[in-house]
Amino acid sequence: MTRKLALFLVVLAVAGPLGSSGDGYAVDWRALDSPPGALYGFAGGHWLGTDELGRDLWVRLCLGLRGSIAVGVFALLFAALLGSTLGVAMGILRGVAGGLVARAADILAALPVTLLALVVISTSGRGLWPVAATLGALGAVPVARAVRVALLAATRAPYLAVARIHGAGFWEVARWTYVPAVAAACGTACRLLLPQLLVAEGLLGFLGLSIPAPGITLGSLLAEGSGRLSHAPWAVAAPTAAVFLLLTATRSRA
Amino acid sequence: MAGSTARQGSRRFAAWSVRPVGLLWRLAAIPFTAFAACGLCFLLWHLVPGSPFATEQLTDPVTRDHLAAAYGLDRPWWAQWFQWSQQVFSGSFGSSFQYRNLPVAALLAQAWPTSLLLGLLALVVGSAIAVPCAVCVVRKPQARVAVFLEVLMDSLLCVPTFVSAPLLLLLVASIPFNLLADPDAGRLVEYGLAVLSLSLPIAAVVFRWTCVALRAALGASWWPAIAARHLPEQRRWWRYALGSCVPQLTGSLAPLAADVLTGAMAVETVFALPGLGHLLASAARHRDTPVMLGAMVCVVTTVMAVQLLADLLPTVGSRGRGMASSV
Repeated sequence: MTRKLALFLVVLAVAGPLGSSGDGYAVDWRALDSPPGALYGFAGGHWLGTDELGRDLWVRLCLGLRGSIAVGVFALLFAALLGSTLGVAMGILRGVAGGLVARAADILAALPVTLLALVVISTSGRGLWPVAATLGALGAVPVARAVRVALLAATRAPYLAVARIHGAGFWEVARWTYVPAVAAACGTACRLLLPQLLVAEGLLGFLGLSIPAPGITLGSLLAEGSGRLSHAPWAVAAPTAAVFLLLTATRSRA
Repeated sequence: MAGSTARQGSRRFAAWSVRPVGLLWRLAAIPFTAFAACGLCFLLWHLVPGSPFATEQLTDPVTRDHLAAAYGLDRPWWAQWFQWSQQVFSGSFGSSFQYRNLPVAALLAQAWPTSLLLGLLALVVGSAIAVPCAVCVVRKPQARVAVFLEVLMDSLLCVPTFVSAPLLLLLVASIPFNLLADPDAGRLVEYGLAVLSLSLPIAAVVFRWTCVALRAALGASWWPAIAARHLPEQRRWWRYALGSCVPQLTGSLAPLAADVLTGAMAVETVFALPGLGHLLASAARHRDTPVMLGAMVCVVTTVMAVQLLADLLPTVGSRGRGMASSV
C-alpha cells in the first residue's frame, strides 16, 4: 500500500503537470486567488485553484512535490555513498585515528541536522545541489555509524575462522559476508533517514532556505500559502496533504 | 514489608551515592561539549565555499573586503576561532552582522527564555495528551476509541510543525467565533496554538514509548501480584503501571529536546514569536554567523541540560518501580 502510494506520488511529481494547460509560472489575470473549480469547473483549468498571481496551484503542487522529492532523493544518495565510504573507513581504521573519527561522528550525530544545515547553507548558498549536498553530508553520519557497527560485527563473526580454514580468501569473504552486511546496514539506515531528510528540506523550504525562486518545493508552497490563510485557505490545504502523504509513504516504509 | 522498604532504601542510597560525582562530571561536560560542537560548526562554516558578504547587493569587491576586514573575516580561520573563543568566554559572543553593533549575547538573552518556555510547555502538553491516550489504548486495545487513537497518533508522526502550525491557524480562523480578532485574546490563542502545534509530534513519540512501556509492565512478573491485591483499577494503572514507565518516558523526552528546538523555528516564524528559532531562521537568511554560532551554543547547552535532567528524573520516579519490584 505504502509502496503504491510512494509510486503514485513520484508519478504525480513527474507526469502531473503534463495534463494541465499552465506551466505553474504563467500568470492568469482573470483568476487571481481563484478557489478550486470556481472559474472553469473541476473539469476545466485551475481545478485546484490559483494563487495571488493567478498561477495554477495544481501544477505548482506537482512541481513542489518534484522539487522536494528531488532534494530528498539526491541527499539520500549522497548520504548513502558518503556514509558507506566513511563507515567502511571507520571499520577498517583501528587505534587512535579510528577512535577519533568515531567520536567525531558521535558528536555530529548528537546535533540536530536541520540546525547544522542552516549554518552551512547560510554560507554556501541556496539551491538544489547545495541543499542536497549539505543534507546528504549531515545525513551520512548515521549511515556511517550503522555501516561501521555492521562491518565490525561481520569481521568478528565466528564462522569466518571456519571459512578461512576451508581456504576462503579475503575477496571471497568480503563478497559473501562484508558486502551483504554493509549493504543491509546502509539500506536500513537510509530507510530511516529519508523521512528525516524530507522533513528537514521542508522546514528549510518553509524558512526560504531551500531551492530559491522560481524553483518550488512543498515547504516554499506552504510558506506562500500560510501568509494568506484568510484569503486563500486552499493554497495551504493542498501542500499540507502532499507533505502528509509523502511522509506517510516514506515513514511507513521505514 | 520491612525488608522491601530496606531494599528500596538501599537502592535509593546506592543511586544517590553514585550520582553526585557523575552529576558533577556531567555538569562540567556541558560547556565543553557545547564549545566542541560550536568548534565543529565553525569548521563546517569555513570548509564550505562562500562568504557572509557574498550577496547580490554587495557587488563591489572593495566594499566586501572592507566589511570582511571590519569583522575580522580576512584573518586565518584559526585566528578567527581564537577570537571567537575569547568572546565566548567573556560572555559577549561578538557582534551581530544583521543588527549593527548589537551584541549577540543581548539578542540571545531576549530570545532564549521565549523558546525555553515554549518548549517546556510543548513537552508538558504533549505528555498530557499522549499518556492518557496510551493508557486508554493499552487498557482496551480492541475498542473503537483505542483503534482511532492509535491511527490518530501514528498520523501525527507525519505532520511536522511547519505543516501543523498553519493548519491549526487555518482551523481556528475558520470557526464562526473569530477568536483571533480581539488583540489580547487573539495573542493568547495564537500562543496556545503555537504550543499545541509544537506538542503534536512530541505527543506522537511519547504515545509510542508509553504504549511499549505499559505493555512491558503488563507482561512483567510483578503485575499479577499487583492485580491480586484487589486495589482500585485506577490506582493500579496510574500508580503502578505508569510509575514503572517513568524511566522510559523521561528517556524518550530527552532526545526530543533537539527536535523541539528545531520545530520551534517554524512555529515561531508562523506565530511571530521572538524566540531562538525565529532568531536562527532570520540569522540564516541574512548570513549572520555570530548569531548562529551563539544560538548553537544555547541549543546544545539546552539539549544537554534536558538530557541530564532526564537521567536524574528516573531516580525521583523510582518510587513506583521500587514498590512494584518489592511486591
